[in-house]
Amino acid sequence: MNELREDLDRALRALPVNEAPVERARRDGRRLRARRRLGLLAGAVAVAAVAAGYPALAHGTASAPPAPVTGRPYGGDPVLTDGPPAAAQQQSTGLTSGSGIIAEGAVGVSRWQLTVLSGPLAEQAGETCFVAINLTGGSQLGPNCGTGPGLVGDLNGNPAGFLDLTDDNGNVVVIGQAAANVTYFILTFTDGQRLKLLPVTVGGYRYIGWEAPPGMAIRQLEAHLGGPYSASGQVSAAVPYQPAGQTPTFGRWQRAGQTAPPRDSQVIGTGSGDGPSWSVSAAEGPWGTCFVAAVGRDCLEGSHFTTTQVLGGFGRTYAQFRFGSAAPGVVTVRIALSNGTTAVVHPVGVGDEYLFAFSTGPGVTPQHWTAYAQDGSQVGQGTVRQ
Amino acid sequence: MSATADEEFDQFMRGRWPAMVRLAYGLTGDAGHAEDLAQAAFARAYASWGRVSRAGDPDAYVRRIVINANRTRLRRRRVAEELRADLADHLAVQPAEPEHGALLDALRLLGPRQRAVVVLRYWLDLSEAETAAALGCSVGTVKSQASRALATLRSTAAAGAAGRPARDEDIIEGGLR
Repeated sequence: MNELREDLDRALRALPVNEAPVERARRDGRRLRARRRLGLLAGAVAVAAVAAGYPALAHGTASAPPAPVTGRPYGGDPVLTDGPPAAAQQQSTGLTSGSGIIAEGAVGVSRWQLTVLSGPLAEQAGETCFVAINLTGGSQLGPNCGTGPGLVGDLNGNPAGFLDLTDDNGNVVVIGQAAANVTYFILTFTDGQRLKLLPVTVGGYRYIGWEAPPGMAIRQLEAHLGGPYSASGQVSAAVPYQPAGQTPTFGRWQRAGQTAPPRDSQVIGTGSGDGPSWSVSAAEGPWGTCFVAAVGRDCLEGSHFTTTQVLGGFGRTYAQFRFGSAAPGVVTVRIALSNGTTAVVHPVGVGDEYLFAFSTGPGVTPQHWTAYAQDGSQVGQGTVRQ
Repeated sequence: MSATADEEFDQFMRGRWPAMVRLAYGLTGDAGHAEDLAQAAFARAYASWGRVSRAGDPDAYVRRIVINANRTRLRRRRVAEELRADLADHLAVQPAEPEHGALLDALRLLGPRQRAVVVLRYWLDLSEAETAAALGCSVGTVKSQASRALATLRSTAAAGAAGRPARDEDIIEGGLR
């Protein structure tokens, strides 16, 4: 085996390797940190248990920190939440945690605790960090830190923004930053279990959080709006995009009476050219529109794409994938690239949208596009925002 | 992050980038995925650099992310891999890419899991238990996959053939799950 090891070593060392993309890694790292921070802060809101019996949370009813409640069994791994930490203080702005602990609970026999660290408790001045601790196994996820407002940053008018991570046991850890006008959240899993999540304030931002077993999918999350202790009766709900075994992405919130986009998913671009083969899919549904490639996924909050535009992209050093939408009636879009070449795409119907994806080489950017109808006539053109 | 920490990270990444790309290449058999995996791993290390550097072994941290990311990738491609096993015998043998060497071409003939077992077990010198943990499978699976992989490598070497197999990416994933 030593000979095999030496041969492997020699062969792999002979591979040509491009220069380290340090600046790109730092940029991605900063984004990741900011995203983690936002989700964590949002998640600081304590998870209050709801389950059997489902505590009375009638609109307009004051919500004191609830007693520990046990969830119904989930495939042998019952989801337990204790609600906000016992030490959380009721203040005029809502529950506040001086220790930074925003939620505690268990998955099966494994107990977890979510903590937000800000101010002097953060790793560095100006940062907000979160830590998920497995109290049973002693392992720790984080601290993951960021330097924006709270952990998630700007909520863009949504009731909450989230960060999601997977711990060493494969459990999904979700931390959300809640808006000031949310009284509490009701999280419903597809197996019927429900959790009531009460926001807990740490460092001036309100957080909720929960941990769930891998494969335990979420049906929807309701945000009950109102004051810190009194809901007004208004509810905003989000259905996440959550492929089997993966973490949820909440992309779109809607009030009662609003119509959700139809559910559909399609491959909207594939290719190989001179590089590796690639494939980009799109999924439209109540979550909005998500674009998925091997390197990741991007869920856009825009509720309905009806115009021709390049919306975003994936990729790092080797391959770049861009995706976009087309207006109804557009059958071909030609995109001029910065290296002088042109990408030609044919939009694919996904739900009630028409979407496309294309690949560019490293460092190549789309510049402008021209759209054509079935009869070959030009029906639009525009510039790609970088 | 402070300027000193940034410089420390820059130095670390420039020094360890080639090794991580090579590890990722060994696991994936694809240069594009290799750089993507490696860069994503370094980005995660940067995101938590304070903790990672204090832990004292950032190299192990990044390596673990690369391996875990590949494991996730393997899970997603399990169906494709099974399809590929059925198709492998029918694939046309194409000339080897000389810059990659015959051994790497032979490595690419293996399925993703067998390739990962060979790289982790025989290049990184992990134990069977460590390899099993890294790949999220049983020790028995590591043994059987290693046995089959070595047999394939031996037969390929004996035949003196180093054909280019279909890459993982040649199998297009079917929609969203």
